[in-house]
Amino acid sequence: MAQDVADDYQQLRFHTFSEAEELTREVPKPIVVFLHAEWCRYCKNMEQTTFKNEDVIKLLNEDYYFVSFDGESREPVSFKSHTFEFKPSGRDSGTHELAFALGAMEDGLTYPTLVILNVQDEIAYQQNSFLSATQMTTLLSRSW
Amino acid sequence: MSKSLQVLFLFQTLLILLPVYGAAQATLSGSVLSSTGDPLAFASVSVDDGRFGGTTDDAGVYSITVDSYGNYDVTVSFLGYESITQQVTLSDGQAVMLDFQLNPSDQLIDEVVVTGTLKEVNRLDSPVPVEVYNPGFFKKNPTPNVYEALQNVNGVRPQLNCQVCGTGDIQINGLAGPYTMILIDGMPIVSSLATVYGLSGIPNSLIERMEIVKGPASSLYGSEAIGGLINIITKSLQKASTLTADVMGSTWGELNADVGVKQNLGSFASVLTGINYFRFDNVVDNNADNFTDMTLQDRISIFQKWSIHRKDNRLFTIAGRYYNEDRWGGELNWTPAFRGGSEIYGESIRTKRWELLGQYELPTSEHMVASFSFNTHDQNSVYGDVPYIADQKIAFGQLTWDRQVGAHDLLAGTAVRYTYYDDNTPATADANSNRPDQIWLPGIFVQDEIGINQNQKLFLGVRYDYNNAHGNIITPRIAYKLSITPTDILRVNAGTGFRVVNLFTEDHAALTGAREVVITEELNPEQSINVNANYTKKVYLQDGGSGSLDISGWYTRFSNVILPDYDTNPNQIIYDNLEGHAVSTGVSVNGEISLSNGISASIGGTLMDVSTSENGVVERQILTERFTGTWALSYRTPNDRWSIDYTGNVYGPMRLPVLGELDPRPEDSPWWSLQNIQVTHRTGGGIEIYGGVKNLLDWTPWKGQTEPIIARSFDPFDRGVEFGAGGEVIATPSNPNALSFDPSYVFAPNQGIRGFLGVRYQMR
Repeated sequence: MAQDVADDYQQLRFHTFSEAEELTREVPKPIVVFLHAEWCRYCKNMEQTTFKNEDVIKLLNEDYYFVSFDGESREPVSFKSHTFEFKPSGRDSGTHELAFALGAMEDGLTYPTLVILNVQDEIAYQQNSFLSATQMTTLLSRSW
Repeated sequence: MSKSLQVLFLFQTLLILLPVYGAAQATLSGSVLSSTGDPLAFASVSVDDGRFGGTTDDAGVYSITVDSYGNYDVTVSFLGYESITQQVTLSDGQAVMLDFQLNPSDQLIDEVVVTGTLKEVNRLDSPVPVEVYNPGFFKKNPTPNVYEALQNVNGVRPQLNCQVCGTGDIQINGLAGPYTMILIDGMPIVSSLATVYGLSGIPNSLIERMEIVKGPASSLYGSEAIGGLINIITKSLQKASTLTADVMGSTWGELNADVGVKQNLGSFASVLTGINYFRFDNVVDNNADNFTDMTLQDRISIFQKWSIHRKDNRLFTIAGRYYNEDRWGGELNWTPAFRGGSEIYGESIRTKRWELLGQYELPTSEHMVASFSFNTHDQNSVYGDVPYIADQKIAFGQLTWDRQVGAHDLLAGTAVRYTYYDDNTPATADANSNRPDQIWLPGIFVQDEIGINQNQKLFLGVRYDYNNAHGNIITPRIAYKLSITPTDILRVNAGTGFRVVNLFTEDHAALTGAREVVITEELNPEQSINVNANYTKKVYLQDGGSGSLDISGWYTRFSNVILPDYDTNPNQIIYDNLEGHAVSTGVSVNGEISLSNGISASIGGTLMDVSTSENGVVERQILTERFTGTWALSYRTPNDRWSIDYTGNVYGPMRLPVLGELDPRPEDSPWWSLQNIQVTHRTGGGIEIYGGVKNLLDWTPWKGQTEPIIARSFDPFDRGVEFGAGGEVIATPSNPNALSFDPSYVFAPNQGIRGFLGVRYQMR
């Protein structure tokens, strides 16, 4: 149906880490990881604005594999033949090892953080701030 | 080595084993700086259109190994800067240095990078509205302790209970301190005695965030959380800085120092140590009543938290705190030599406190956490010539289990609390001997958070406690959340509360000695039923700005409540069970906007009515305002170097405890407001200098009052007062208003305008 075709262009495709890993094996593309937390206002803002922008969705769907990851999620994640686990720091707090490995910068891990893994599996880019649709479009239009 | 380098290193060794073709190899390295000379971390450097590449580290340095040679284009790019491309010739075995300086790009130069995590946030997902406040919020009006910091939160008011000894409690939505449960890392260790004295020694620098539930929260945390809940989450070792220091002084002579140090003990553990010292040693008497305007204080608090690393990544933390405080207020010429005597009046409180708390995740396949805490509170105090010596010990243990089963997020647990309390009053003695109060409170609780569908959540919880003095206590709770849209959320929350009153530990007025305490009958537990509704609307702007609106209404009805009766006999405080009911009801509105140009503003107001109805007479609760408002207006420069914050609050009139008909002091407080301004400069290198003016309007409770706030402050031992047969004060020519010494007419701090200056240092 026409509706489905249109949706194909408008819906942002979310992948898990293992899906993204699998897909890069078939068609290598950089992986964009959006690290967020439930309580983070700027993360919510990006979910509601930046990641709803048509240009951003188009770029992410076509040129990248997009993974949205809650840095405080509790399930172990296998990625690149390693298992990363949740590390609790209190009864209701903690950080997922994978979020820390990908997103931590000199001042630790803050939310939101955007990470781009290039096709060589290197962390090509990290940004721990709000990114508007314009900024994101600029960023995603680069080659990584 | 920086974290980011470690990460890159980890990934490089973990993931990539680049095959080396032939022997040809050259290295290209250098630094990438901004036009102002600052190193740019994570700038990307690409050689030959991405054939080789890397990123800069946090010193802006990059190094790339190239395994072929020739003429190549090197492109350096970074978000917000113009990319540069330069040609370089690489030959075998050569090491080439190439530095770059990037100019900001026009396209993005005006856009401010807004970093999250420093702002107050709302836990949107929970059926019970939890407000989360991060240290950045409290930095807008820096205070030496948690107690004072809470004045910035709408609907929360630090209530000064003792004009002379300067202690207070936290009122939420008009309900006094004991109705609010204060937790540290989820454990109820700030209770009973410590609700009055324990809040002041928690260093702000150790706080990762504060979660506040306004309105009832009993079930998971205990049956007492009727007014609200404040959970102070201490810094996690992962997030703590290597070294933090914060020193602040004021023109009144207050000195506050906070130091935090993190150490990693190899693979065994990490340790966070915090020390807070506060001193105020000036006798100030601006209102000339011969009494100190502000209590003199000397306080030290040492906190240490151990996070023990376990192989399976499970939680194991142990924390301890030692707190020692010496405070006094009273007549200006008081010295410790007069302590407890009836020559010169002084209130002197010496407190020693130990706390130990720990959390351990069991090595079971089910997710189970055992937590424990223990604290001792040793208070040696005198109020004039009345001594109050108390010893309290509280032990607490809890085991929780949680599991996600389909749409059900289940949590169950069991807890036991033991309280030992002894003092020198008749409350803990019978006719012949001392009889310390000992309470065992075992309980179980179970809760289920059900995700009905994407937009609805239902929370069901029930708690059962057994009190060895009062028997079975059942406190159920139900909450419902409806996401009308992802940014419009409606919540309803209802349940019951149950609380056993301990007059001496929680009601300061019972101790001041100015009035006689009369307990006319055996006091029954307080019981309440409550309902809350909350609507939250969020608006997100494309450029990172956002706005929110939050409206809450609440209704709490007490079938029994123990309230001090100051009115029947001006010389007494009478405590008895309520024959009727009490109600706390109100509505609060909070609006907030934060724009990407650096301006943010918030404003909130709470309208409430707290009253008792006994034998057909409805009366407003004493020392409770009908309206409070708070606001904050901030601006941060685009380069993030400077910021300015203007904060304030306003309180409506409160009914005050006067000494009978003839007392010339007004029966109601006026409208009053405290306003503050602050400028912060971040010089780089982790240093932040801040300074400003507190109480800009120089408002004090005695301004504009013709009568002294403390009645008969010149005669604190009532030597010139004549008493009748029933203990009532008789009006005499020298005491025409029939007053006795009374410092309990207190509603606001005596501290007028003052400047403050501080410096913070942070090393990652």
